[in-house]
Amino acid sequence: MPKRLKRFLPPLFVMAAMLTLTMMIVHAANRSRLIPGMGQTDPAPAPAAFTTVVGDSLPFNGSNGLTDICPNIDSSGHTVVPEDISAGCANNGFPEPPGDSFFLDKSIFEKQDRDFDGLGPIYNEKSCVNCHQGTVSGGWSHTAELRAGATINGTFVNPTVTINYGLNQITGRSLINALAICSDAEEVTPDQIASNGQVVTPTTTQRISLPILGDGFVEAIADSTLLGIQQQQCLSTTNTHICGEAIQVQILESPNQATFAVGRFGWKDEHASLLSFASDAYLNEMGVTNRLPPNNQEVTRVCEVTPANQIEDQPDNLGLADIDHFAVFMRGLQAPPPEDQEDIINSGQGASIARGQALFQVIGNGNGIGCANCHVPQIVTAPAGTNQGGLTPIPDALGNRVINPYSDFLLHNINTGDGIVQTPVGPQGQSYQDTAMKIRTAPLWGLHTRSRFLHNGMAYTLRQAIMAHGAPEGDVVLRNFLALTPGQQQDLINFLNSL
Amino acid sequence: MDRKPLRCKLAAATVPVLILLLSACTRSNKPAATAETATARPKAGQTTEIVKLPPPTPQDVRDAVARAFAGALALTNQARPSYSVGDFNGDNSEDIAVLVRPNPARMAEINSSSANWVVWDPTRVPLPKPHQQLVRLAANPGQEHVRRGDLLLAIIHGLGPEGWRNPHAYQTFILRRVASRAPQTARLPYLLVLQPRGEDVLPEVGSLGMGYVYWIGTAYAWQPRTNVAAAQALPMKASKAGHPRG
Repeated sequence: MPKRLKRFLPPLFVMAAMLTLTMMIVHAANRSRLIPGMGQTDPAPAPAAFTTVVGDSLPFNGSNGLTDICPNIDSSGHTVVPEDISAGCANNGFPEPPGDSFFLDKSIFEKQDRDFDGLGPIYNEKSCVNCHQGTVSGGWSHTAELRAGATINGTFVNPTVTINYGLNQITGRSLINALAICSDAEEVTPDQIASNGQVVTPTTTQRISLPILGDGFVEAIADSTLLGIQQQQCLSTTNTHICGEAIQVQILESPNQATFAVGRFGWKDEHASLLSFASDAYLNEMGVTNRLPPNNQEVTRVCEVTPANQIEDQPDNLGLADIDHFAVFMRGLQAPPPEDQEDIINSGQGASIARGQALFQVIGNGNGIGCANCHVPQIVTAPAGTNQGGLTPIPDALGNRVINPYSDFLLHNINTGDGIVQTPVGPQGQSYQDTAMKIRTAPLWGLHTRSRFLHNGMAYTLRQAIMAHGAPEGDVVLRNFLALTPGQQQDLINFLNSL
Repeated sequence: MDRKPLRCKLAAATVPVLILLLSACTRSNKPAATAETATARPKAGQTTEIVKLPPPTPQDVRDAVARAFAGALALTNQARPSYSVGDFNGDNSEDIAVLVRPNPARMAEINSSSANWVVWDPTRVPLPKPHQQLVRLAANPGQEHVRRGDLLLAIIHGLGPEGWRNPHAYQTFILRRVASRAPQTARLPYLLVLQPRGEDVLPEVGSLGMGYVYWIGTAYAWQPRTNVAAAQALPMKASKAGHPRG
């Protein structure tokens, strides 16, 4: 080797080593940015399957081959989830409390309550499953509930509903229940709402119930991940006007109810914890009081058959109240799976779906028209062991998991708002009145199982749902969609139908 | 030969190159962020006052319908189009409703599942009755179809201050069974079920009698005038403060 060349070898070696190191750092940095919330180790995909067939009579470990508790506990006490959990497991590996089982949780989720169980006096349905059963228990709904209210001088005012021949009033909530255990308690939407000397016509809206499949993983998303998505949207110069809003909501089960987290459940992001959500729904949708304030008080006691000042949702022999079983059931649900790959191949739409997926991407990424700016395809949950909202700590089964929700779980105004405010103020007294015309980005996972779209179910086709996207945050993406050729538009719709 | 200074020079030259490489790679996979902050941009929920626009000329209406519906719809009267303007969807941008008929030669295109408009029947939107707040949604009725000779209401939602004249105003609807005469615009002070805001509404004679066509946040609904009148006649209840819930 020439002497002159030998002189250059050491610095060349140093340079090569530094370049390699740099590339490794950049690669790692890019990965963590592409998949927000990435933990220390490579995240594993969240199990996804429809396993919770509606009906009490079908036991797990039965003819369908599903096992109630799939994960095992290793010697260090960590949950070990099998690689192919969807092959034979009903739940996602969320650890059950002692004595409890996923099947028991499911049966309580599907239990039809009666008045002496605490149902009513006013309610919408007798059971959770009645509003969450599309395809499987926990799925989407074919019912739409009613909410009402009015914005007066820039502040949302809940309706005052008079019942029992004018003797009683129901206040402090926008929900108008459909049913009652007696006629005296039945609610009727008021024709007017009065506040500060003004009388106005109420805003009313219908809302279909949301699917809860995979919500355990959503609960395990770190606040910082959602805020990171928000920051990326709002700072971007390419996605004109898209800037989601994250609101801080109370964790009802936290000590002194002093903990707040980024809202992610409900059409208005009104909850961040599945136990809080279960508590709210049990009172307001079924009329059953439970231990978490403010849901420990009846909406009304007209016609009530249970004793006064008694919480109706009492713990069972395992020490678990119904809301605990609901929360564990929701946390244990697998994510909704996409359309079966074999079906896609057999349909001959594979290439079209791939083209549609490319169009779905964020603005500025290839041919992306911007759907993914809000319908975020992939999120990684916070690492196991950390605390997030109601999950303290996040169990192995839910931590550091890759999910494909196709949502940012933020509130946006695409001019489909319904005028209702459910969280008027934040923990520091900040006003959330601007959420009246905003709706949470609908998660698109499991879309192939649904036949109605948007919050009121008033879009019968995916195209109609896309066409409803308007200003200020949805018009650019709609314009991009309409600029596609008919073939490209169909590619995008085929992709959506595959989710 | 002095090797040390050469190595130092090489190392010194390498560091800035690496820094440049690092910064270039870091930027490559995300939208370019600038010094612009979230608060510096118009907020998503922020509304502005509707801009008063000059009244449309017949030519304006003809141009708008031709642009938005690509010749698939014909005005009922070419010389004097029947139309009404207002803010039907409450976004502070002026919209237009025009009385039209389908172009018989373009029926397939009008009813195509890939058409750039929504064909919709507002009378099929289920409305909650006073004692039936929970609505069981019927099976998905699928896409609505325009029939030859139908009298239709074509609606173009405005975009920004230019309203429906904006060349990018492409959010459009073709409404069936709610048009029978020249559309009017009204702002009603009384109850229309499911109207999220106080938008302009279209008093129309639909296939089910007199009623109102109005935006429900995601689509158009129709409500008989009798329902509105009955609701208006109800006595007002007194308001009382309560604890927040729900």
